[in-house]
Amino acid sequence: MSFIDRIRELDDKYHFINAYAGDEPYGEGLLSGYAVSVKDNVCVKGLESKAGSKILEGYVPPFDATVVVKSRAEGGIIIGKTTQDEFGFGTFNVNTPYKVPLNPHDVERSTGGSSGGAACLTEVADFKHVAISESTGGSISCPASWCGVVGITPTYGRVSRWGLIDYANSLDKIGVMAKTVKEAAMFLGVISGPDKYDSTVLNTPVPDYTQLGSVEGVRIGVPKEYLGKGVDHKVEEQVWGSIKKLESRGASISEISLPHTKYSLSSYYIIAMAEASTNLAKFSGLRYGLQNPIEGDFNQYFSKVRAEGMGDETKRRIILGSFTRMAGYRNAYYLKALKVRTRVIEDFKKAFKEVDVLAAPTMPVVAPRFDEIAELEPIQHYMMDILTVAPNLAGIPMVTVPCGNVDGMPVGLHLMSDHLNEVKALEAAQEVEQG
Amino acid sequence: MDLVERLAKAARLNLTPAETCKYAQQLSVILDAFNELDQVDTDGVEPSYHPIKLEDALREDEPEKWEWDPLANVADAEGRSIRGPKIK
Repeated sequence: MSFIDRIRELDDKYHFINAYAGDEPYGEGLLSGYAVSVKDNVCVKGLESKAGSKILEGYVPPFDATVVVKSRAEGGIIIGKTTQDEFGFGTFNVNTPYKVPLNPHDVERSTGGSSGGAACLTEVADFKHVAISESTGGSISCPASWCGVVGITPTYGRVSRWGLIDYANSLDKIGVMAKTVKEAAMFLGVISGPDKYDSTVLNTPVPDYTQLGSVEGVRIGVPKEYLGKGVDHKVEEQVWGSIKKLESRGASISEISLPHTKYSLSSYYIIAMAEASTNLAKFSGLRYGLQNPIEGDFNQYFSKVRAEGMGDETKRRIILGSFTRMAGYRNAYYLKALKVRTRVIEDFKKAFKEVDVLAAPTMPVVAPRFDEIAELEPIQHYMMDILTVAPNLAGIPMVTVPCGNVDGMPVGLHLMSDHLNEVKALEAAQEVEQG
Repeated sequence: MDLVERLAKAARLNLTPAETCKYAQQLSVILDAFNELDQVDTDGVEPSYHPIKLEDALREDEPEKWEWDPLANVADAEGRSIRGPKIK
């Protein structure tokens, strides 16, 4: 059976691919022998790239995103585009008119989102595979944790975003998923580093992420706001089990406080929606993607084609984001949220003076069932992100690593470290992985 | 309701009456939740437009030839022009 045939067979069962690339031979390099999947919102030359949205249906980029260029240069072959929530707007990967991926551990349950297809494929792949994924508020950590794989969200600015169909520019980060910490770390090294096409990339050397030491002497902080109320006690038990394991390997464990955690959800959603509503203004049904026969004046045409091409959650975020930026409300919402973000960043900076790594559950519960998700109001969807939005607001690196199961569903341990200190979180993750 | 209609018009989104009603109700619930930020003392706090300090990234201003066809995805082109809706 050819390699693409095998992926099709798995995709028929789990629904994780939006567009297939052709069969290509492997090249030489660190990714030789690896299949590389690409989240739908990252551009691949010649391959439909629609970010899970009908407004971009049929858009075929004439160029590769920088992360794709770098993957090809190391010998990886691009196999296709993985499913996601429309533009990344979701925690369960159900907000899309296209395929909704199914959790490999129980197909009645969500993979998590928004990089759900990437996590699903990473878990089911029985061949060498790494996934290009992307996070704005937890879109790598959530699905990686619920599908039982390793996910790395790097420091904001570590990886070029040139060629990313953006959601919120001050939050978006391209990252990776893989079955093992070592493979994920290797792949992060491949795609990191400066890019003349993205001025927000940090111009600092990329360390060798595969040279990982032990956790002997590493100071690990457990944020008290990330445990207790709202976190399933069985999930908490698994997380504590792995934290104790780190302690037995020589790490010191202490409790730490991140007092503004409670406010991070509102701050995050205000900023993300404000930025999304401006970013999405460019999708007007002209030049690329969904293009209807021209009717009416430009306001009539744009208003109609956008309403047709954008889904429910996208419309909600545009409305909310437009509101929080509106004259008269901007100071009370958007500007206030940016100031609270400063407080959230200060919390982390203070914590990293005392500890090297923060450890917490990645998600408060295991993957929910689709029938449970259907009952949730939008605000309950947003509340599911309570443990992932703060580190995303602060742009610090985070790694989720499988640390056990609850009723057969995977649980992830979230390891966070200071800006550009990915290595510390990876070292702890590798130690947990080794059991 | 009026507010959602105004926002939808500004955002160039035709909403059905049912959508307008639904978003108005959800907007009110979500904004109520957002109001918790009032509890945070932010006097004298600078807003963080980015999570980390970004520095200017300048490069030589040299012409570069792009190999892409900017019209490759246009459905309705005439010669090298894109057909669009009339202004008014």
